[in-house]
Amino acid sequence: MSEKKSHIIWKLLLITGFIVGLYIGSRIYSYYHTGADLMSIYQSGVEAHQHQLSGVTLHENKLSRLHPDVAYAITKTMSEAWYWLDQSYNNQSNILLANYFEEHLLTHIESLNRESIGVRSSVSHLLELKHVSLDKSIAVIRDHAAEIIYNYTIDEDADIPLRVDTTAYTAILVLVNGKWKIKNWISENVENIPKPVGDPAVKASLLERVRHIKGINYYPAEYPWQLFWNNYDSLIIEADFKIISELGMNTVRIFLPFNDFDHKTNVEANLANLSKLLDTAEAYNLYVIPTLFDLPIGYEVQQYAKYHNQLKRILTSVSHKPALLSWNIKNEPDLDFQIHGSQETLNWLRYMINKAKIYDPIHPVTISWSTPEHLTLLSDELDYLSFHMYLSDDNWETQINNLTATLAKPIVLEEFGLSTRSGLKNLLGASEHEQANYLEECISKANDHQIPWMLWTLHDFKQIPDGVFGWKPWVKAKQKRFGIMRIDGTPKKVYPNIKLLAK
Amino acid sequence: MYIIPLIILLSCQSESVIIVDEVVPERTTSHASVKAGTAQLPIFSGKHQPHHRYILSGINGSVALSYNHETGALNIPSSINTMAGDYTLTVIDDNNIISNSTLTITAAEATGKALSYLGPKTVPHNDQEGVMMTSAFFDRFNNMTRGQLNVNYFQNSDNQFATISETTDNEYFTYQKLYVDNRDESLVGLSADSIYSDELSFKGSSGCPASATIRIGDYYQIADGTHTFDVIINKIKDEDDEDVEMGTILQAALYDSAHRTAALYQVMVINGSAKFAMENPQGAGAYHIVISACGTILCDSELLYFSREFTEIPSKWISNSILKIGPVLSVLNQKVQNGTLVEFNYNGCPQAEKKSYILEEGICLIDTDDIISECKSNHITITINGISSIIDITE
Repeated sequence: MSEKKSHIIWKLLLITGFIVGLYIGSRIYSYYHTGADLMSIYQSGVEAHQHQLSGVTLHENKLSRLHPDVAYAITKTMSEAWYWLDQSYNNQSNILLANYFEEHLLTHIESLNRESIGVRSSVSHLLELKHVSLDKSIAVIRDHAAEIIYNYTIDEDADIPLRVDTTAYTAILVLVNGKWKIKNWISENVENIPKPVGDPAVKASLLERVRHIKGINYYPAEYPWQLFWNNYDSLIIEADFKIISELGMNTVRIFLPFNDFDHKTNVEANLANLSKLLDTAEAYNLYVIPTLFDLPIGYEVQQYAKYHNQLKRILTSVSHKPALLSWNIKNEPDLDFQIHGSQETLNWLRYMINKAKIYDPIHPVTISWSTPEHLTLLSDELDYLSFHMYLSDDNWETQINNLTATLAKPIVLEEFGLSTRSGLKNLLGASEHEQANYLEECISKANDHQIPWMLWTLHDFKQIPDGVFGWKPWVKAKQKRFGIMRIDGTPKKVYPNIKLLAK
Repeated sequence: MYIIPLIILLSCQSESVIIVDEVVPERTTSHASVKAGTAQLPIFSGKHQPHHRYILSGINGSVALSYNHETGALNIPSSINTMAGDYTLTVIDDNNIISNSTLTITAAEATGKALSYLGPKTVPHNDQEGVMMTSAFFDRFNNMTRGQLNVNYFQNSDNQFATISETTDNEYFTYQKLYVDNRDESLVGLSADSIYSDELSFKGSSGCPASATIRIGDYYQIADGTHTFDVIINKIKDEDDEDVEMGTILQAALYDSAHRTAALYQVMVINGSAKFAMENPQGAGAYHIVISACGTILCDSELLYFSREFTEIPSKWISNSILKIGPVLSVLNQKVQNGTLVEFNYNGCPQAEKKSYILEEGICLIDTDDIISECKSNHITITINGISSIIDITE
C-alpha cells in the first residue's frame, strides 16, 4: 500500500472515530441532562384517562337510552374525575380536581391524601344513570362496582401485597357552566356481583387437550414479532397452518404484542385478524394458545386500567372460538423480576390471571416461565404451567414429571429449539444435523414422559425487528435460524423426523 | 396454629366490634357501623402490636391511623369521621395485610336546606308538559341521606296555593313534576320535618316564541364559503313576553337580495338565547338573516355585504403545454386558500374536456398536452369560485 493511500485511510478512520465519538457523547449527555417532558406527562395522563374511559361500562337501562348525550357526558366526567382523584392520591397533587368536584367534596378530598401511603388506581366502573332532570341540569348515577387497586407503601422496603377493593357509590352531579361536576357522593357496600362460572366439564376437556399438546410457536417467515399483525396475510397463515397440520402437530402458540392491541392502534383490524386466524386454525384441526401482553410492558399499579381493558377486550372478543385452547397471560415475565421487582411483577400476573378467569371462565390460563425453576410460582392460580428450555439438563424430563406430580397440574414444555446459525461470534454454531439431534432428543423424551411440547419455531426469519433482542447483530442473526424450515421454505434436516415424532 | 383473633372494639354509639383475623389474611372479617359526627371514634384494640400499621381507605382517599397508647385507641381524624360512607380498615403486620374490615360511617338525620333544582324555567301552560323539581337531602355534615321522608311541595301560582305531598323512595334523591295553567310566575318550595328548600320559580308560556333580537358578530366580508361569523339571538319571548323554554328550536335563513335561500340553519334556545356560527356565502352580494319559529318571523338582520373573493384569474403559458394559473389573490391581496377548486373546461373534440385542479399557494399548473386535441376549439375556460376567465389559445 502506498504511503498516500495509507494516509487517506488514517484520515478516514480518524474522521469516522470523531463522528462516532461525538454521537455517543451527545447521547450520553442527553441521557443525563434531559428532564421530564411535561407534554409527555400530560399525554400519558390523557392516554391513561382514555384507557379508563374504556374501562367504564354503562349499565344498559332505559334512562341511558333516553339520554345518550347525558350518559356519555357523565361517563366521561366520571372517568376523568377518577383519573385525577387517583392522581391526587398518588402524587399529593390536587391539580384539576376542581374541574370535577364541587366545593364540599373537594375540601374533603384535599384534606386526605396529604401524605403518601402508596398508590392506587381505579380500574373499572359499572355506571347506572338513575335520574336526569327534565332540563338535564342534575343527574344521579350509581356505580355498582368501582374496582380500586391499592398498593400501600408504609416503609420504603416494605413489599405489601396489592389490595383489590370493589366498592359501590351513588353520586349527584350538577351541570355547572355546561360541565358536569360531582356535587356529592357516598360509598356503600357493593352488591354481591356473582362471578361467571364456566362449565367445569368443558374446562376439564380443554385441560385434557393441553396434556396432549404437540405443537409449535409460530410467526410467519417474513413478519415475526411486532411485524406480524400489521402485515397480517391470510394466505400465508393458511399455507403455514396447513404445513403445521401436515406435520402432525395439533397446537399453535401465537403472540399478541400489547401495542398492537392497544386502543391507539388499529385494534379493530387486529382483533378481526385474530378471529380469522382462529377460524383458519379450526379448518386445519389446530388449537391456538394466544400469548397476551407480548414484548416488554410495565407492571405499575397506575397502568392496570389499560392492561385490564385490553385483556377484557381480547378475551370477550374471541373466547367463543372453537380453536381457542387456552390463554397465556405473559411470556417469560420472570425475566422482568430484576427490572420491575418480583413482587410487582407477580402482583400484576396474579391480578390478570384472576381477571382472565372472569372474562373467560372456560379456557385454561397459563404463564410462560423462562426456566423450569419458576414453575412453582403462582401454580395455585394457574390452570396449567409452562416453561421454556434452551439448554437442557440431562434429566430435565424426570424433574418435570416430579413437579407435575407435586403440583398436580399439567406442565408444558412450551419453547425449546436450537439455532442453526454459525458466524464470527459463534464459530461452532449448531449445524442442521445437531439441531435435528437436539430436537429429536427433546421430543422423544417429552413423548416418553407424556410432557406436552411446543418447539421454537417453524421458519427461519428474514428479519428480526429492532427492540426484541437488542442491537447486537450476532444475537439477532442467531434468532433468525431457529426454524425447522429454511428461509427459502425448504425443510431442514429435522423436518421429516418431526413429522414422525408428532404423530 | 390457631391464633386468637385480635379484637378491635369501636367505642361509639353502636358499640360495634371489628375483629381482626390473623389467621386468614385479606379477609373482611367484620363490619362496624357508626353515625357521622360522633365526636371521637376511638377503636379499642385488645392486641395491638408495635409493628401494626392501620390504614383507613375510602373512595376519597386513605389516611394512616396512629395508635394511641394511653387510650388503646385508633383515633380517626375529623376529616373522615364526618364523611359518611364505607371505609376499609386495613391492618398491616410487616409485609402482610392481616385484615380488612369494613367501617361504615352512616349519615346523620337529614336536616337543613335541601339541594333542589327546578327546570325548565319556562314551560307551556298545559297539564302535559311541566317542570321537574329534583331534590336531594343532606345531614348537618353535608352527607347525602336517604330514607322515606314525607315531603310537601308548595306551589303558589296566580295567588293560588297548592300542596302536593308524597313519601319518598329509599333513594338519595326525589323528584316531582309540577304544572301550570297560566302565564304567571309560579313559586315552588318543599319541606319535610326540618328540611326546607330555597324558593324556586318558573313561568308558564304559550310554548312558541313570538319575538327575538338578532346580533351579527364581526365578519370577513368576502364571499368565500369558508369563513364563519357569529349570529346571536337574544330576548326570545313568547306572546306574553315571557322567556321561551330551553330547547325550543328556531330557524335561521340566509337570504340573498333576490330573496332566494342561500343557507338554512336550525338552532336551539339554551338559557334564553341561541348562538351559532354561519358560513359566509359563496356568491357576492347583499344578504340578510331571518329568524323564525312556529311559522312566525321573529326578527330580521341588517343587510350583510359580501364581495367577491378575488376579481381576476391571472394565467400564463410557461411552456408550450404548461398553463400556469395564478397567483390568485384575494381583494385583501392574500393568496386564495389552498385546496380551492380550479375547473378547467375545453370544448375540444371528439368530446369536451372538463377537469378539476386545486390551488396551492394561489397557483396551479395544468399540463394541457393530454387535453387539448388537434381539432381544437379556440379557447379554454378556467373557473374558480364562480369567477371565470377565458383563455384564447389561437395565438
